[in-house]
Amino acid sequence: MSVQDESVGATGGGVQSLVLTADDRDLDTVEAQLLRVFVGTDQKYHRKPLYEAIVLAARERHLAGATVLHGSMGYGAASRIHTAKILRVSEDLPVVVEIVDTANKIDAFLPIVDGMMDKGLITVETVRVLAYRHGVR
Amino acid sequence: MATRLLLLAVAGSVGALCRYGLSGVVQRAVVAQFPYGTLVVNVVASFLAGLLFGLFESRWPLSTEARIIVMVGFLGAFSTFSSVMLETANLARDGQWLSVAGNLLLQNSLGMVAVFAGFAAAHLLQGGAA
Repeated sequence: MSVQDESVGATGGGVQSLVLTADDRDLDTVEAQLLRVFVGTDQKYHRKPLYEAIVLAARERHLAGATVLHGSMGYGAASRIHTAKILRVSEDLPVVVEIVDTANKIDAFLPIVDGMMDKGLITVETVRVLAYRHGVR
Repeated sequence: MATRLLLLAVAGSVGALCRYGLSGVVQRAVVAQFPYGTLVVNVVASFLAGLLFGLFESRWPLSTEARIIVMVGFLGAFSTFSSVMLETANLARDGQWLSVAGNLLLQNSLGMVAVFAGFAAAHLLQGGAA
């Protein structure tokens, strides 16, 4: 795996990206870190949804990519059930932000995410990257 | 007319806050995938409807305006038919047909029982007079 720059028109900056080389494709060594941030839809950071703020912060720091997954049911440290099915407890539904990048970049981003959250869960695990493409062949 | 609308709005606000509080307390207490919070709210609202209707008829001969403010404003906002339908539809969408049948049955049967219980309570409060 190599790391290369890609130009980004909107910001004019360079994005450090995970790129697979031909030699990497069948190697177990194509490793990256998967950062998962578990928060609620109602959590805010500077009046903005927290999950959105995390994605924007990740983009500002040129992390390889981020995905927001909305959950329909869950509970957290307070053991309070949130579910979309029942109106009264359909507030603050779970949201997971997933970010994949190299260990160095994830480690550097962790304190930033931590500082944005007053509650929630952060996990990091090692993953094998099999493909990372931006659609231009 | 403006006063009536204002009082309706105030009564409705109180009713909505009561519903929000009660349904939240109940739903969090039972921790179930069945809308007990809405069920309890509607049963309590049905009981209050029967009780107040009974009392307004004889013991508290309030004006029509006051009745409308309490029955339409407060109880209208406190009870909720749309939530019942939405939550039942959500259960149906997930194929939980037993819960769908149970919710519709309980909401209607317990609601009706609660209204008659309210009538009976009003009757007792009036000293059992017919």
